[in-house]
Amino acid sequence: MKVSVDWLRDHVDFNLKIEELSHLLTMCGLNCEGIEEHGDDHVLELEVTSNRPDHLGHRGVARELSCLLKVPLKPLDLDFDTVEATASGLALDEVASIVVDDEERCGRYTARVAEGLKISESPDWIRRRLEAIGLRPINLVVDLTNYVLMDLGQPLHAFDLDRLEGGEVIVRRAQRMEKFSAIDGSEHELDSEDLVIADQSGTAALAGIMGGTRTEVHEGTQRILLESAWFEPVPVRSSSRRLILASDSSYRFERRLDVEACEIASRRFMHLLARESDCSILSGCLEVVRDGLLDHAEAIAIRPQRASSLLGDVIPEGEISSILSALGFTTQGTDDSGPWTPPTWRVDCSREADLIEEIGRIRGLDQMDDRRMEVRAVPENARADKIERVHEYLVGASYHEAMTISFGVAEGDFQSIENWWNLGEHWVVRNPIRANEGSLRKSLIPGLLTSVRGNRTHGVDEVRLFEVANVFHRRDGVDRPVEKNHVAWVLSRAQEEKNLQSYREVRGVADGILDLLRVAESGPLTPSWSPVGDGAGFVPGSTAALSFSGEQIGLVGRVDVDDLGGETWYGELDLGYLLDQSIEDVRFSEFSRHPVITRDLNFVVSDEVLWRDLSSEIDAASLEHLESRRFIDMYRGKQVGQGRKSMTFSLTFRAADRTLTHEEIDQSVEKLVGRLGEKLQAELRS
Amino acid sequence: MSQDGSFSDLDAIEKEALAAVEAAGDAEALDQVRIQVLGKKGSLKQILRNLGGLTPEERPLFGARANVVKEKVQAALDEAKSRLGSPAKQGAANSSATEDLTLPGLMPERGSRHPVRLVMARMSRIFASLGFEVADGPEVEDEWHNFTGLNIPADHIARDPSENFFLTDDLLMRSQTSTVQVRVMENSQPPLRIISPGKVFRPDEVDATHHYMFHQLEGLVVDEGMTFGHLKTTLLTFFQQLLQDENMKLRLRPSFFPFTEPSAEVDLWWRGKWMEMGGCGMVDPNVLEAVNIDPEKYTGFAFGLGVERVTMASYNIPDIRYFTENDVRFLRQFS
Repeated sequence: MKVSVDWLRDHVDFNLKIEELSHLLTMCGLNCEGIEEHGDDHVLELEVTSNRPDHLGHRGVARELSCLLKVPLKPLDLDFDTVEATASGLALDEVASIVVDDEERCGRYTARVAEGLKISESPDWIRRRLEAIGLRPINLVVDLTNYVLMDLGQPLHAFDLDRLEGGEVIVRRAQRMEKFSAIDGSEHELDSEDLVIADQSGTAALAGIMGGTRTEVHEGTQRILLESAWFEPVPVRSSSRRLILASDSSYRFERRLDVEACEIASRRFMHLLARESDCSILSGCLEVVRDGLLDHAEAIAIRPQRASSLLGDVIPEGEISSILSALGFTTQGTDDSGPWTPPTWRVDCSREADLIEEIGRIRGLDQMDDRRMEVRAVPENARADKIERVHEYLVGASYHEAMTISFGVAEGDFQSIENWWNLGEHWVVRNPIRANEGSLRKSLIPGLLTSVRGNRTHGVDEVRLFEVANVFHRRDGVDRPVEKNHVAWVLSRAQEEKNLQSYREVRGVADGILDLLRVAESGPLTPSWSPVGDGAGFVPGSTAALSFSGEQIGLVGRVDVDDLGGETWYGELDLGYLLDQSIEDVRFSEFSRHPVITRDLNFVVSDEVLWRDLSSEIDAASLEHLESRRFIDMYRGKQVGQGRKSMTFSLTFRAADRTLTHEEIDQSVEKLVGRLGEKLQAELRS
Repeated sequence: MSQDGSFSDLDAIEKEALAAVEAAGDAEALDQVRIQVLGKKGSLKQILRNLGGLTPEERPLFGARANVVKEKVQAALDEAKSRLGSPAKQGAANSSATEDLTLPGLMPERGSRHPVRLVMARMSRIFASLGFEVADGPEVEDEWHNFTGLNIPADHIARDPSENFFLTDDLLMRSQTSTVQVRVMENSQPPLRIISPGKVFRPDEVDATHHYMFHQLEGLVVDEGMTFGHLKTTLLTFFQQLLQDENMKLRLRPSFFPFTEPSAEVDLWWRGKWMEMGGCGMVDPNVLEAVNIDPEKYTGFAFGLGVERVTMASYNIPDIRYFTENDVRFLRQFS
């Protein structure tokens, strides 16, 4: 809210440099976001929190200053002369009447009437002040409604009484499809949820939001009916939102106003009107008020000891009383504890905690003594450490960590990759920021591919990205998204590599993560990779899936990103699942210090025989002293013949207790050659 | 030498080769032996191409035996080589002055951590040193954990559908990591000292300092005797560590959040002006009561810091949009 320093002085005297003033207000909760000069005056842009509608007027701000500076708030002059009857001899209740049809939404409605007006410009001081805070002066009546609004925070509306059919004010729900022309020139079609101020011929104003053109004050206006009312916050907000029509009034009503203020503001208006123009103000005030609305809030007791211990502050005796009194709280009690009745404008205060906050706020939350907490050891979190190590591993493997948006569906064919991960429908947000970002991702692939494309089109020839983040799946019988922590990585290069080189690099990352997490050692479940059939969004024949005893938890393959040349490969693992399988306990195991014997063997097999088949046969052969086996090379070509390939692997033998002889290894190899020949028709190639 | 593929021929090759190695006087002579025996057209390769005289059963054994010969000869060659000095070694000794050792190294490629994750990890480490444990929670929340449990009333503007990403009437993308506070308090009793770093979502228009997906690091302490002074000291210590500056300036400016009372904004003096880093306050008694913690016995404080804010300040990054673009030229700056 814009606040004029000159205007504040109407309510409280102070002698502060502008920087001091802005600091003082900032540190009591009115953050000063800017200072502008306006002639001799300064205007502060203050940020008002949603719980303090009482700060939405100069007097409310001045009240804080009066409390902080311990200077009394100046009284408000509300006096004005009245006449008992109009020129034509009618009393107030004979020229106007109020009917409130919906007391639930309109808690209080007051109206005063002035006649004999000549609509003119406002005097300089009013124009200057309004202009300083960014309002355009119009005429005295309209300007005064705005002036009082900005002074006391209470919205007012002046109707041309001669244009209110029958002088009758009816507060009711709008009819469906009812048309309304607001004074800002906008046209609206109302709904039965909207509260309106109507006369006998129809809607004259949208309650709490804006007046209508039909009854607005104009150059020829002679009589006005001044509305000062209290409307329930939520309906004002809903109407304002739905109609996309907001105003300084709706902004305030939405935040719940002081129920007492409407009467005071109405008198203040008439006081200023009488002072600045020639007119007759009818004696009395028409009013409808809901039962109980004006009841005093319950008094609140405060334990000074509790305040001290919550704030960590030594509060001198009497300080609580002096702060609360200055803020308008009252008590019958004789000491700090109250109980304290909050002033009607403090709609935010109903509990002891609220009062303690006031004490802290005024004394300064910043000046509390240092209090240190006890030393406490944080239990180690093995799972988090492992996730961290997966990150470090990928960084070591020269992948850059990306951060992509959790929303978004993969384009075209890549949707089938998302579907591979989860066949359920995407979870959808109701109000996406961008049309293509309405769905919660089921796989990390959409964001990573978008980022890859960005990089490649910026001329980065080799892109390696990874991300660890949640994906959102749908599972039968679960009425909320199942969140899974995934790790995914992408390798995209402008120049294609030969011989499955890229596949093996990307696949190697998956193998490396499994190895890092020691999932394969954990017992009954064994990981296995198998080719995935086509139609999964990958380049045909390029994809392998990882499963753990039947559960599919990983995917590696080549994706065909049109418009990008070269090749792009992707891998993704259900990291959460792997962490569940990961071994916690690492134990030393003894190793042999005897020499090793290595044999490289080269077999020719039919094309259908996979490394997986070969390696599991080697394992099944249970060769004595076999320490490890390692794939070396695969070759297809004329020498091996059509439909066949040669596979080379290396076996390492070692005994724990002695040096092995070549003869015994020869026997093992012989056994293996026999087995592979029998089971896989593999021929040893020399 | 005869090459009819018999086992005795293998023995002969082995014997001759070992003798030749023994006789070789320099590295060049050794290389000759290597080519003659183990080379592509060497005697060992030749004999393996001519196995006509062997039965199918004998062939694998012959191959294995040939392997042994190959290994023995190779071992002898290696040994002789180290005895005589390899050509490379001789070269290096003779001409060290001509090698350009100022050539750049072949640096292994390395990747990088995302700056936001780096900073979040660093913030977590500092809080760990202050005794805070990390707690996690779901990114999709229900209204109770996102609002009700945090004392945000039914008609509060923060619940407005246009201020949130709702999936159903009850489920939404969490708009703050305070949700994790509620989950932790539901499941454990004080004393509690936790942080929950993570993603949050609000439908803000994207500009240089706003995004609809960002990260918060939320902290919560509940214990007997916790005061606003503890809150202030904790934040002060944290920022001193973060900035490695004992004299950094921090201020707690009164503000409003439904779940804390009193509430304050955390402002950091940064490059000549105050910068908002997050919010904090004493846990509202209603929040404690909602999870059956007695607010008379226990008090607590909570804070939430914007991770992107801290990251932008730490690295002098001018625009929040860099974080989700994932341009490698941006990312690798933080490796």
